[in-house]
Amino acid sequence: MIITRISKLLLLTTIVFSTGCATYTSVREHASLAEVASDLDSVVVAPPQVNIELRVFTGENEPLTDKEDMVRDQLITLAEKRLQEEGLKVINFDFENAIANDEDLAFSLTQAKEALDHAKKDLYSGKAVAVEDKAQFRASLGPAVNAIAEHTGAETVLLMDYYGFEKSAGLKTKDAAAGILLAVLLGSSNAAISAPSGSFVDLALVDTASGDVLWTNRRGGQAVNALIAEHAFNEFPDVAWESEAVIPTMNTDMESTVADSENSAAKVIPASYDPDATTAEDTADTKAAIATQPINQ
Amino acid sequence: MNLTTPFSILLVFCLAGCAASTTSVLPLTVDGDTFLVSQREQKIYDLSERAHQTMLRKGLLVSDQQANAYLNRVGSELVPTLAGVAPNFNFYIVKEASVNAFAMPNGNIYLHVGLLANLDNEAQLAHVLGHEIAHVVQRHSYIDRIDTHNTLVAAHVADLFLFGTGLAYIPAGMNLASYSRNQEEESDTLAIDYVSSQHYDLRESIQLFHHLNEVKHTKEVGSVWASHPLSTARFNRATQIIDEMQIDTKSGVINRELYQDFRQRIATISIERRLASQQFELAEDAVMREIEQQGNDANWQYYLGEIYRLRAQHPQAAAKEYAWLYDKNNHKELEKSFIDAGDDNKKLAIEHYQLALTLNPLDFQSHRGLGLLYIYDDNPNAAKQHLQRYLTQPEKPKDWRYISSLQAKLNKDS
Repeated sequence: MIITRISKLLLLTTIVFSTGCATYTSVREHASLAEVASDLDSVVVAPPQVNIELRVFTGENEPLTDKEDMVRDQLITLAEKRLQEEGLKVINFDFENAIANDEDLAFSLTQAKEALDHAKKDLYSGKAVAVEDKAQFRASLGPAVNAIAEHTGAETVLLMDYYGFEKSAGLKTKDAAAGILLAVLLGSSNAAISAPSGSFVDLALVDTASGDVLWTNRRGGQAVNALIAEHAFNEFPDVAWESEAVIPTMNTDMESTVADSENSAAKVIPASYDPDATTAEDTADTKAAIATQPINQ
Repeated sequence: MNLTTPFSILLVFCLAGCAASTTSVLPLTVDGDTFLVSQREQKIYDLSERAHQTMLRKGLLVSDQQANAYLNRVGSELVPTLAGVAPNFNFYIVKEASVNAFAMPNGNIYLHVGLLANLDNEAQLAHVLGHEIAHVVQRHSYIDRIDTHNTLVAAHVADLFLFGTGLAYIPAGMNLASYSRNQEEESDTLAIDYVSSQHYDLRESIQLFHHLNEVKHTKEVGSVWASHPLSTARFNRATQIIDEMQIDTKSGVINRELYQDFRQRIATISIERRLASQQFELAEDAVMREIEQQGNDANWQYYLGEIYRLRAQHPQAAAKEYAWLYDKNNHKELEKSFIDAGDDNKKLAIEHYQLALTLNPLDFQSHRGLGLLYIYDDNPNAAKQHLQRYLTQPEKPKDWRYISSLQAKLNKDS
């Protein structure tokens, strides 16, 4: 009787558990990503924020600056390669030099990261998100990233935040000793020892005009290198960016000339062109440019 | 199982760590040439340099030349005569709204715009600077690091006996500008000495604590300039020290006007940083202080409009701030009350923006505020009108892309 009751309970628990087991994701995507992506063609990779420390027994943790530089370079190289593979035009921009000479740009980047931290609180608060619900989000950094557009000309920016740690020999010894003592006291043959190293990365792709967060993902791991970012990029959305759009070609000379002039006119329209706006400087220039395009016959 | 090896290793660490003593650390005013001799002090010096480079790279330091020149003039005059090798003293303004100032062992002293906005005159500024200078002169970071090291090693051993549960282990962290109560008291005493040597009115040193005590909602963690109980104790102590030193407090330099010129150059940074951190009530306090100091104008009315608009748009953030300031639980009822106040906040926002435009019809930023408010209020026609007005100003605004993208969305939706 007892065995039957336990078996039924186990069966019930199994059923509840398996039906309740959805696949969760750390990815968050903009609710209209496909539509927004069709108007965006370029990306710039902002300098990743990388903090890697050596945790020591005395508590006087030290930054591992060489490792930070190495991981930073790895992240940038990886990001540019993956974004290019995804179809975006990667803009090369010397942020270090620009930041050194422009306090406003430096502060804008800081503000963009702060705005992203606020947005992430909303994106990652509450219960876990199932895979099928990952593309229902709307979050914006506001104008914080406009300065990046101004300086780089990129329509999107990739922001990355990386934290890693390694433990010193002394701290590892202390952890091992603590684990062993605990195991001895509990009569266990397994000593639980905390990890000797770890890393965490947060990625976000942001529209530099609207500030909309298009895609974010986050990953953790034990190794202190850029591998976790590689895993995070494996979940990059498969959408058609404007740079991937194929422009149909015409057969006759006349038709191709007309198509060329139309395409040329189309290219000068900025992503934020508002046909109703009549006095903004850019749109006035745009309208003038279109009006003076020669129509070939 | 051999348990002696890990204990032996830990014992060695403990003994090595406990060997350092703070009694051999001389202030920089005493000839002894011990500055930067030890590896540990060199390490914290290097960390200070690194921290400074990080702040520069993040654009966190105000670059206004006039403001910096004024601050460095006042600060450098307070530095006492140093003996032997010593760091150079440099003074910086940080784009941070919390009421705080801190000193690094490399001689760099940083003052937050939030603190500077709360001071009345140069004499009060001098006391703050004197206090921070004293931390460097007395090498408090280095002494603190030795003490922390000894404490931590002992805590590790205790932790081990508590089976790694972390109950006794309190990480000291990397805070190079965190000092003990005794060190803070010592710095206050020396500050009075430095300030009186430059003939500042010492009544302002006392008044500083009284004044900071009156500053509403000072809740910044870890700031000795923002703790009410500490300010009261320091006020009493400062009065006692001045009495004991029998210093003449009937007269002295105050330089109120010079200081106000300096303050005006950085006043809006504090407000904008509060808004960026969704600290609406603290931003409002900062604006009201400026209106009191500088008089009402379109700029301050615009900021009041922003405060009410953002309160309406972010009621959860407003509730969270309220709970933090007044030690309330951020429960659903509190959030609901801020959501319910949304209409009132929107109405107040419109009033302030419109007052700003009355005071200055060319206050384009108020058009921006109204445009954003009307988007939130689901009034696209009014929103488009005001955003368009904002974009037509003679100098193209820095966020024209963001505003244009909002216009495009409004047009698409209509």
